[in-house]
Amino acid sequence: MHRAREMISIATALTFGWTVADGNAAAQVQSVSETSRVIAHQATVSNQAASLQFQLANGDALTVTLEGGRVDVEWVIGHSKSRQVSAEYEPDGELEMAWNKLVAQGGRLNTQEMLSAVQRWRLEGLGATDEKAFGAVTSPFANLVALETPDDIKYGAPHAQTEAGSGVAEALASPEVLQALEALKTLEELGNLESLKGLADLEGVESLEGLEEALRALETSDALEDLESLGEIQPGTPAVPTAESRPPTIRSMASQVGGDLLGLLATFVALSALGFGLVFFAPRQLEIVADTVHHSFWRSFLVGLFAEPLIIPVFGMLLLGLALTVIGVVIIPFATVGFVVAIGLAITGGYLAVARSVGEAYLRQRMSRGYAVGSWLSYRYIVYGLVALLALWLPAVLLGSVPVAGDIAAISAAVLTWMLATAGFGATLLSRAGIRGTFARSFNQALSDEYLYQTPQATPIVRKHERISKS
Amino acid sequence: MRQYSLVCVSACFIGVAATAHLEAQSFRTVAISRLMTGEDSLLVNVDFAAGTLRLGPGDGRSLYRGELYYDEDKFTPLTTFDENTSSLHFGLSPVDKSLNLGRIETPQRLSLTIAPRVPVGISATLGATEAELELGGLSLFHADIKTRAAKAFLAFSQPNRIGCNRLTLKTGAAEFSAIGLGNSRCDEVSFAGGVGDVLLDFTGDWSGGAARKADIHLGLGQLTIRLPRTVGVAIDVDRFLASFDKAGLEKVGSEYRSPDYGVADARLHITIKAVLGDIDIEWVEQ
Repeated sequence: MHRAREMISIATALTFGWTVADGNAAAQVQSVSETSRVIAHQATVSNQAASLQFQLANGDALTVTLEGGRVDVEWVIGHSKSRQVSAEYEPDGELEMAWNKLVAQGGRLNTQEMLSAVQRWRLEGLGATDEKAFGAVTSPFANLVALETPDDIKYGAPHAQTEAGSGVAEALASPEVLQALEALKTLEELGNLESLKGLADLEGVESLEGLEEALRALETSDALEDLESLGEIQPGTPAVPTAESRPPTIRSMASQVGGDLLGLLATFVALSALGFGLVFFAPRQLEIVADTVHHSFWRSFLVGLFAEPLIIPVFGMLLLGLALTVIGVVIIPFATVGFVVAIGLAITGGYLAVARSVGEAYLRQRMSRGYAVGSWLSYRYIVYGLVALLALWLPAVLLGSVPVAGDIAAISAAVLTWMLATAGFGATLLSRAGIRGTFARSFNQALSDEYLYQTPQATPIVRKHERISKS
Repeated sequence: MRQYSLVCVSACFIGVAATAHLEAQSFRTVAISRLMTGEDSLLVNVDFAAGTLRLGPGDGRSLYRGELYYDEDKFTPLTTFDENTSSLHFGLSPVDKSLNLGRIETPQRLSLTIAPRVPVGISATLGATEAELELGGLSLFHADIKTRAAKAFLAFSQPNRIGCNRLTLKTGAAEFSAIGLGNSRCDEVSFAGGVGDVLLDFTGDWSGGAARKADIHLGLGQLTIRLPRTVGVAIDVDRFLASFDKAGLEKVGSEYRSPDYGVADARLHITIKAVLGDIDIEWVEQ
């Protein structure tokens, strides 16, 4: 008996599909009226196909799929399934594109709205093939009716706590407001106010009416004022914590360390490039400054320490002096640029000279142990020295996210770097930018070990003297 | 010269392979929605292996509404609703169970909204995901959230509409934040974390007085517990190599208590077991 009913239903459905495709939908209204109340929908869109399924209250389901130029209509009635190609359409044509767009709305619309949208769907100017397919697509939905959701459903008694202070929350959570906000969101996403009328058709007039009602309700109520006075919810406050309020994480710490390491590497590359330039264009000057740092480090540091506070006064005096003469006024802009460049070069060059000095000390030590260090020594000094100086920042980078140790490492690295840069700056000043080698190393006559060579003595001198004295 | 040629050819092969891989990905969108028909309750079971997830209260006109965007070559959608038990199974299941899902598949996404007035029990199993779960405003009677390698943010921005039995949170290697747990109105909050940074914020609506429990287990990581000053708090800590910042608490017997614990209308008893890491306490004026 049950099986017979299913077969009859399938036959009815298939007949319904064919007949409505021929434009005789009205004849089937009565036959499906009892079982065509829609309760749920599922919309699926991919590159190959777009399908829309409505599930009926009695468990049956209707699916319309456009795929590969064919319109498939599938009915699931009870445990039986029937599928047929009811029409064909132009692939990638207007119908397919519009259908895909319509089905893509399935995530934004509830079932009532989706059904309303597909029933109100209209396309004009289609070709003959697509026109026929359009009828085959839309006609199966023509007699479906969305299930009325009873308004008087009462779920779980609201808690007294919720009622006490949440009139505003209730107002905001009311279906009208949420519906209105949803409609607004859709409008915003579409971003086209001219499509308002089309959207009204698409979403159903209820949404926009609800929007108006909700906005009126919000305006007339004290909801927003209550919100502000309560201080519970700030306008624009996100429902979930923002990135700023989130605690640091292992992932974010790792990314921060990675970023800082990249920054350190970029600094190394930039300073190396500057250092290579100095070695290439002013090797002698760089060497003299480096020697000054090496042999008179504390003297250089003190000079730099006293010179740093004088930079701005000197700059002021320079400007003042230039402003006293007509020609000076004209060259003030150039002097300003020149002064800044000179100070920058002095500090950067001094720092690079310190790096060269450190690299030289390290490589000379290696050479004295007999290791081969290769050619291009001046460049190697710079590279090795920069590696050593920038390595001071490694603990700060690696421990950057650790509360206390990270701060200590960063401060230590900053202080040491400042000291070295100050010493370099002072050495630049002491050596007059590498021109005067007064504080550089003095000429060492012991150039090689051969001067330390002594001829082995054939006979012990002391004993000889002893023998002489005894005799 | 030959080496350069080899490098160039290899780079070309890698580029072509990468392009082919990108082209091979085919994404599909599935949207579902169901009207309310007077269901007594709703059980929501979410399985999401990889991607971005958002879950929250809906507009009240649909029982639920969801959308999936996924790689159809790697995953199959789960969109079943059992009318007999009023249970929804929604999410993604990997086609190949041995698929390595170690990283978050950013393009994939799942969004689900649930009717606020229907009593709902939520069970979510999340893989390599970035999840935002807004459970405030729902009628939540139970929730069980499991995350593996995930970044999850759970919020109760509004009070739960009904009383909640238990909120169970389990995380693997994760960044996890739970905001407004006071609004959850759950008698018991249970958290178990493996490795990661965890923020448990117990602020929210504690009016009317309540005595709630929180059971926290953490293996390795940083645990921050944010507490409202209006709530009397007692903390029982069992730690191995974990530091504990007992700011604002005084030791009474084997546990740490806030000064007003004995007279507070609302009380929270927290049990913490931590192996390695930091446990920080933050107090918030409400």
